[in-house]
Amino acid sequence: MQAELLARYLSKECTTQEYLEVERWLRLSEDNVEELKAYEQLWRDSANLVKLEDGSDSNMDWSVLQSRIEAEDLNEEMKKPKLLSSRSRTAYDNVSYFSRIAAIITLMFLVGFYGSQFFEQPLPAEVEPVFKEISMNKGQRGSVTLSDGTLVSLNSESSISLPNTFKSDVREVYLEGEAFFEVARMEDKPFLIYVNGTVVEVLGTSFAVRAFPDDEMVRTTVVEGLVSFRSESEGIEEGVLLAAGDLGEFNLKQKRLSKEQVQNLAPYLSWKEGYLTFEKATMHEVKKQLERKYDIQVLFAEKDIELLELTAELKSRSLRNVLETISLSLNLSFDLDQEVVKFKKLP
Amino acid sequence: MALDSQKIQIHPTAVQVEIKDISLVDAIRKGDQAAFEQLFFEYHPALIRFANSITRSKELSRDTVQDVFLKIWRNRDQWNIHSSLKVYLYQSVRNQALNLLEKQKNRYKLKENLHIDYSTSMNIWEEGFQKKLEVPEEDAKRIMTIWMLVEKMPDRRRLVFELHRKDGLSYKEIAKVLDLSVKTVENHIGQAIKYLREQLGQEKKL
Repeated sequence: MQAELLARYLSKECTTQEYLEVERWLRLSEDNVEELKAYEQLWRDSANLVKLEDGSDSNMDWSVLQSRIEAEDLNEEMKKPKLLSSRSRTAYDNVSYFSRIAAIITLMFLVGFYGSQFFEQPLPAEVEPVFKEISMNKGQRGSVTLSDGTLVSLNSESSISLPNTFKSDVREVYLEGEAFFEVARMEDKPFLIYVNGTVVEVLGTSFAVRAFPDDEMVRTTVVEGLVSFRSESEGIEEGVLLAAGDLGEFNLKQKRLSKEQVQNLAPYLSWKEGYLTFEKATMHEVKKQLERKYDIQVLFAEKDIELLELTAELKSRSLRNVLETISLSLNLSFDLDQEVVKFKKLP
Repeated sequence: MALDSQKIQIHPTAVQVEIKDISLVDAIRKGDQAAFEQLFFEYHPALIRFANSITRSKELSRDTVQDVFLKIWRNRDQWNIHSSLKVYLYQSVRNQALNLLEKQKNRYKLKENLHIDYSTSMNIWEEGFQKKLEVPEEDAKRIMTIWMLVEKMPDRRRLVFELHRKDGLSYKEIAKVLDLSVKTVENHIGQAIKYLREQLGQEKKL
């Protein structure tokens, strides 16, 4: 049997006539049937090769691509005089100045990571601490490497302020919103994060902190290492000590600190990888996170939808798929019009 | 023999896929960032693999795919696709990969590069692949053998075969992407499975 014909047969690219020809050939002998079986096996096996390829670099490459796009946009803007552009408004057009800086810093970090240590040079000592703010708008996400090597990933609608140069004995930053820190270890120079009346103090570890303006809690989730979490007005002995897998919560109304072990850290960290995970989260909370991540407005046709609880891992990159998954698991329907999505109960 | 149940058919999803692609392209043309992100994550792993099979360099293939996506976004207003989205992306990756290879020609000797890359992938393969594929050891061995044999094929044949088996492109699509006639594609795939069959048969005898 001709290999080309067999290949067309296996890939279902043959004509009916050719198909019949293969059938006839098969009827000729048991050996032919065995032969075809062997071909079918290698045909299936060869398609299995694909599963091996690892797509784990996609996230990294996506952030590099975004940095390149933003750096380019910034260049464009500096070149041309201020003209009202007629092209459609995109997410990039209203990027704030600081997130652009963040993006460029990210790029520099990546270049350094892959290339050389070219960019590393000692910073001149400064007397007056000058603060800079790095912020992300809705629909954006980014990361920044601080001068001490600490990596900060910022979620949408979040910002971090820090001095141009850290003091000699302490590293202090101010956070609004949600961020993930991988703090570079420096035993003699603690890292302090001030966030909404609380302070998180670390020596070197990775953890996530969250305190959006509309949150009732400040949350700290620890992935690795040891963290002290306390109200700003209290000393270190009044705070709670959080270890890996611990979730610390400070209730802003009751001014109360609590701590618990979490089985699954994913709901607190998945935003960093670019997707949302919920575990028994109310739709009220889901709404807030969707609006933040996709820069959309979420409406409920019936008020009590916001009390429904969602448990889901929304890994799809497409907003529509995400909305479909939510609707399906809660028996809802949705309308997506421009930047407004409306959930309705199914009758 | 399950021959009777194996009727020739057009994939019912083919039409849907086309429609989905068109709306994706449309959204990107209007500057929809989420659509662009979706496109990126949908095709990035496959395109990286394809670029890698042409350039034989991890860095070059990452650059290639980056450049292709950057170009799409930069010129999104005038983005036009004459064939299918898939063909367009693979074609662009091939062109850009060849461009970058041309630029680097003086600096690298391709053959050497190929050898190094091949051995590194082999290590990764042997260490982690069985776990990743989630298949019994026996199947894993067979798949690994095929993979090694594919690596030994002439470049063009290997590319044709991989585009069909790994990326699921049709003969026609492969012909467009690699700028060959459909007849040549058929011939390559026929030769490829013949070669695999012969080699695998020998292994058994040994």
